[in-house]
Amino acid sequence: MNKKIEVMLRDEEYLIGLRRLFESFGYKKFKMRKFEKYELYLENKSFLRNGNIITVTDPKGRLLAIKPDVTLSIVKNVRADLLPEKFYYNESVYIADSGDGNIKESTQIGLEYIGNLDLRALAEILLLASESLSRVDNEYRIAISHMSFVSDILADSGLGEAECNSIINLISEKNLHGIKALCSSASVDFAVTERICSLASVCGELREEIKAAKRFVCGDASQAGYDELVALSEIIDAFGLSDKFILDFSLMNDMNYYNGLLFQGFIQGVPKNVLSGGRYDNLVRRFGVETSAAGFAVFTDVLDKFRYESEEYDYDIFLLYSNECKAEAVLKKELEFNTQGLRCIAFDAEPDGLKYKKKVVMFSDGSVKYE
Amino acid sequence: MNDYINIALPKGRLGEKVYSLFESIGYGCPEMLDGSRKLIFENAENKVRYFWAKPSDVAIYVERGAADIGVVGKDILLEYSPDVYELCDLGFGKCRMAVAGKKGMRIPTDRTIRVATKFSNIAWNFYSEQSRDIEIIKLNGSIEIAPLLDLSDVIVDIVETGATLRENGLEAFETICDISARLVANKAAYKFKSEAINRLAARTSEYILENKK
Repeated sequence: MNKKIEVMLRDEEYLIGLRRLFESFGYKKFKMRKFEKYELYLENKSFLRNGNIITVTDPKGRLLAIKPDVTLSIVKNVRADLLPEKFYYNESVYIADSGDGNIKESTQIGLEYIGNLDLRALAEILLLASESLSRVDNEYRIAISHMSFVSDILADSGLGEAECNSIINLISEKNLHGIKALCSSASVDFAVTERICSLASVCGELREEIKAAKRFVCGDASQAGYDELVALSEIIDAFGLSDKFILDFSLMNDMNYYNGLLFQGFIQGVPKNVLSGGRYDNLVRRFGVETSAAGFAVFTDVLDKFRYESEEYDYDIFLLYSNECKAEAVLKKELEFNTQGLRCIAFDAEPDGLKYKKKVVMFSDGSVKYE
Repeated sequence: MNDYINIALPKGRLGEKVYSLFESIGYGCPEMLDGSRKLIFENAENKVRYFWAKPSDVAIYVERGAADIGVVGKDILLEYSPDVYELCDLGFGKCRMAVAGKKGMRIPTDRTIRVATKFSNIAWNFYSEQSRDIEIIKLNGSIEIAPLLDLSDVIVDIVETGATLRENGLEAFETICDISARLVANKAAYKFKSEAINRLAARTSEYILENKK
């Protein structure tokens, strides 16, 4: 089979494989429409971290958004009496890039687990994330973090909300000199500053790093977070995946939405994360339901962009036939190549710039010559 | 191939200074200095691959993973907010981002201020925090001339010694922030090469501390 079709099939098979995988773990397909009321995103503006929403006005004058995200739409329809629920989706989302202002379409396949998250559920989500990446390439890493540590440390720091947000940004940049400068100008206790800095520096195999993470426990939430990470680490170990999971506390997200486990997936050779997930009880709470929820998405457009195989040719065979050839004979010859799995293009003259691997000339008597 | 660290350095004096720092902490690549026309330089022994880039492009190479790490001015990081780790302040190339204008001028508070700058995001953020309405005039160079020709009221630009400003009858009124060169790393590359990148960053920090004394 030729390469282009192979690559295409591989991408299709990947999506079908993930859908089967998610379904086999009891996730229901969620199909979303293209438009959503604009207010949904206005009220949860900072949930969408990158880019601007694209709006359209419908004929009745209502302002709609072309969906920039799937999670919000799933969560807003959650009903407390139906929980727990598990959904997966495979959708395109649209944003206007904040850099160049152009409209970008991106595709994602992901899942949401809403209600009664216990340790088993969290482990299931992490293992499914891990499986989703291993099907692309075995050279992958999942970086995990827990928001409880930073929220406990910041609660003790005496910093205001704006400063806390700056600290969170600096932690996510692993910008230790910036953290020190901000803390000293805000007269934060030296020990607290040091703790924030060492939190930001943690990055290594989960199994190893978790041993030293106890030093960051400084409250009930972080104690629970620590216990959760230890338990998850043991499960990951039991499934033989220890070398794939990294503990990286510089991984941060908006505390207004995310409260516990956070994770991102990386594949060797792809310059940005291809998977993102976490626990977002706070988001569900904003829609009036007191429960726990978590999920993740794989950014399939990022995978496509960086994992292509370049080809030198558009066609395997260029069949150059004399205009005295019988049409039927030329078509039969083409079919002959097709059945061998070759891409064949036939013309009676050679156009400029045709990229083919081999030229075959067909004469009026039906005989062919390979060039 | 994969155990190499790919390093983007800014063309010019700053980049040369950074290279000699890296050389002295064990990341030398002698062919960098032999004046050849090559674009990419490798050293198998130290497992490094260097290339020179336009200073304002270094962050792009790093953010998009063409380089694992790079050295870039804080001005560029503030202006473009690339999604990278900022591992270390090198302390080189110190200068500041400042608002400047004609010496002794009154900054208008009763109308929109016209601001000429290369750094439109930095200028925008600075004035929007003060709730001031500004009109940004985006220029690509020779910013100092703008207030002299009344193209703008003030400029937002990098000020090193202030000599150019003084010679042209301009002065800096206000510092927006201090600028220096930063070591940045691609967030995904860091997940696979954290040990090597951390080692380089730690040695760099040590070197800077020692040379400060």
